Amino acid sequence: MTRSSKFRSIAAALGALSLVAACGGGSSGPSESLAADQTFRFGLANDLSVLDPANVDSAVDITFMNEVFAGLYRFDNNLKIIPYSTTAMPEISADQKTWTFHLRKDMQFSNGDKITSADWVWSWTRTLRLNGAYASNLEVIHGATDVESGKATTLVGLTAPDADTLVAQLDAPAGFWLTQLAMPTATLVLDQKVITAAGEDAWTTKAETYIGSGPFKMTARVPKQSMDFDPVKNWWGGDTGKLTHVHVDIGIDDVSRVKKFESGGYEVVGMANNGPGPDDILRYKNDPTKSKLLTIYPGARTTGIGFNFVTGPFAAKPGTTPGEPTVADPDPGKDGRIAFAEAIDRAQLIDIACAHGATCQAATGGPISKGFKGWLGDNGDQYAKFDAAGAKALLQKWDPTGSKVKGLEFRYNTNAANDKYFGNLQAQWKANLGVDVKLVTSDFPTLQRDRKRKTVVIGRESWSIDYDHPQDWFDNLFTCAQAKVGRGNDEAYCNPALDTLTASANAKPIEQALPDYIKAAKMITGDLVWASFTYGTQTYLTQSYVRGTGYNALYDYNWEGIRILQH
Amino acid sequence: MATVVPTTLEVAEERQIVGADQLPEQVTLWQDAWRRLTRNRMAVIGMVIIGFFLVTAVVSFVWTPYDTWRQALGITYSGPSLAHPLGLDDYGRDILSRVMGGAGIALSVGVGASLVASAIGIILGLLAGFYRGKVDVLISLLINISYGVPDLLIALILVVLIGRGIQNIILAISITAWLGMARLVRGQTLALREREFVEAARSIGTKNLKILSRHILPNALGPIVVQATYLVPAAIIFEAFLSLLGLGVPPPAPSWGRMAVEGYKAIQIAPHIVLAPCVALSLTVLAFNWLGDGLRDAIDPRMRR
Repeated sequence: MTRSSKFRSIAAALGALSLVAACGGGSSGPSESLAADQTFRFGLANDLSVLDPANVDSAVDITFMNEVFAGLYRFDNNLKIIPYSTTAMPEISADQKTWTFHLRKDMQFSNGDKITSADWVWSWTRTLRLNGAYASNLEVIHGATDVESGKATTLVGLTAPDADTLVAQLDAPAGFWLTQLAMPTATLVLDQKVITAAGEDAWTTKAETYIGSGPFKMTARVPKQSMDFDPVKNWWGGDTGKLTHVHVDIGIDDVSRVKKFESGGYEVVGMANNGPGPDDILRYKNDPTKSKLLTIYPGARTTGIGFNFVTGPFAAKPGTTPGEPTVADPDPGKDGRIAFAEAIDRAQLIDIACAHGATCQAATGGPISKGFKGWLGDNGDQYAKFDAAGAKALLQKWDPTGSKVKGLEFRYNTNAANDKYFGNLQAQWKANLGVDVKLVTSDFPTLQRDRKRKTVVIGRESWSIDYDHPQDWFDNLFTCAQAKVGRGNDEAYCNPALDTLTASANAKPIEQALPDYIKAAKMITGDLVWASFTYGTQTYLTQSYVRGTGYNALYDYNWEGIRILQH
Repeated sequence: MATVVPTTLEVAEERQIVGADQLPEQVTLWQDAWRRLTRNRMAVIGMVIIGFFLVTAVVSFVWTPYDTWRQALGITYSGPSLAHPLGLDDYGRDILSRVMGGAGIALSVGVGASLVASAIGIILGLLAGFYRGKVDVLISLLINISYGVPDLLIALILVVLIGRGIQNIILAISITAWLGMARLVRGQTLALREREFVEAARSIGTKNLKILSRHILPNALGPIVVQATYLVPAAIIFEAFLSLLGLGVPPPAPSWGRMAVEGYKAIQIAPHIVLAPCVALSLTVLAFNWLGDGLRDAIDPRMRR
């Protein structure tokens, strides 16, 4: 069986599983004999960095936000957007700028406080005022940026005409906003009374004041040691499932997590992006009995190489101020970019850096991860093909004396996975191009700082999407606005035609916008802003007696569907 | 305890008193030491092992079965085979080639650090022991303060500041390894400077530099050689430890320490990866220790256990 057919099989199996889950297979069936103890346990390497939904900024944290808090909409296990605190999908005006949400009347926080539309207005205004990483999910609302900048204290574009209705006035049509609203981060509702009483900085520090409206509530937390959760009794949203308790150990590295799993101490390894290490994955994969406990899901991360468009030998327009257009014909750096991209044998990279394909898969469809909206399909990236001879010939034509690549430094943040990726790329470039590339490592903040200064000539790029909408890619990574110093487009790539295209697509519903996004994705792959080489995977070890766990390429399956069978 | 080794001249003078016709075969101190050394079985084994790795290291600079950096030579984690007698590592690199290349790095670091540390220690030890007074106080203070700071901390700071090249690793290890040598040489010099032959040299107006280089240093050379030999395995181990912390010779250079670390991670699925560099490392360290013990016994038979 080829690697691609294996992935197709996995995808098909996942699809079938998803179908079963969507049709109600997530709940326990009559033939299931549940264990008396429904305590679900797993471990994390690090403590949550942020517990306040207004400031949340990591996939690990989001896992818990999703269970403790509620938003207007949510993703089901298949990433389908479904009403959550609302009775239906939003009513959108003809000009697509007024969104009306009808709230459920029975909503309440886990401490019994009733939730009204005023709580949403207060929560969203607070989130914008704190201006955390995901405050941008509310920036489409009229007046949001004024609250973010401190110019205003009232969010004029958000009103509560009655206790059960919320009306948002947008600055411009935003076809992607519904997806942003479903993301369990900045748009969650918070208990004003509790936060005001406990204090803005203190309410997240104690379980008793960490109040949300999701199906689970935190019952105990020892920082850097453990967290405990129980289902909310008589939850307004309905059935909280079979679990009676969730215990999370903190400070457990990947090897220790697997050891504890093997001794029966954990039901699963892999929740909250804390999977097993590659060597353990291989061990399980190669063992016919253990392999039954191993599941590899597609993930929403793309990793590749970013080329600087204004500085260094790969630049399209050397010396351009970041944020100014970098469109050039001829493009003096493009042959170099192509040579370095086509000298990468993705099959070899996957074999070595991804534990024979267990921890990632080859990216050949552009920066947007496989299976997500805007992905170009297998081999959709014209420069993802491996052609060592062609790459070397192109390099010699582009840089006959070797002066352009002499002393070339590749920047990345060091960790076990990245060391493997870029250790292999270094060897491939040496073998296929005859170029000695020096690997320069640092911690992530240092790399991030230099990227935002637009001084990294060639380096690691990686993006884990927040929600399944191409707007998340383009607006954060490839626009001229982001190309400016201090923003997110590390390559300083600026193509006004791309900006126009994506701005137009952003205003449309996704079904209408998708062709434009595909065109935009082809533009960035054609210009070779990134040489994407892998898409992520998420690996789980699950005890044979556990049902309902899984991963939908963005989030863990909701805890409500998890149950533990007799064993 | 420091010992005074008689010079060749002194040995010869002593024998003249006995009478020329009763003299045994005339040998120098070093010839005598070599004879004793070659009679020491463990020292000989040590020398053979060192010789083997030395030849391996020299050969590896011009030839290895495969490039030490070349990856994907086969299925990663593959066990030993005819094509790859020690198997392949997690990058699909040939372990035999990397162990050979690692010998070059280990011996370069070990011998290089030993030479640099010895040079620093000898110079400062000679100055402190010979001039005494303020010079001795200052150098002894420096030694005592340096002893108070953990070696690893100093090396880590240095490596972080100056980078991870092989020369920088040698420098970082040397900076922490000269203290013992300085103390030893200082003690030797303090004793030797009071000896008659030094007094004689001084009385005829020989300059201090010449006294140090022609009279004191040669007489302290025996213990210095022993100490320098012990510094080699210490430096090799130190480099391996730096590699363990990710601060050793940068990849893809095949440092044994780094290979051991990479192999350790995969010990459950491919134990052969960790085995080869660890065996090579242990053998080399043992060999230098056996040689050091042999040299100590050979140069100063009174120190023999």
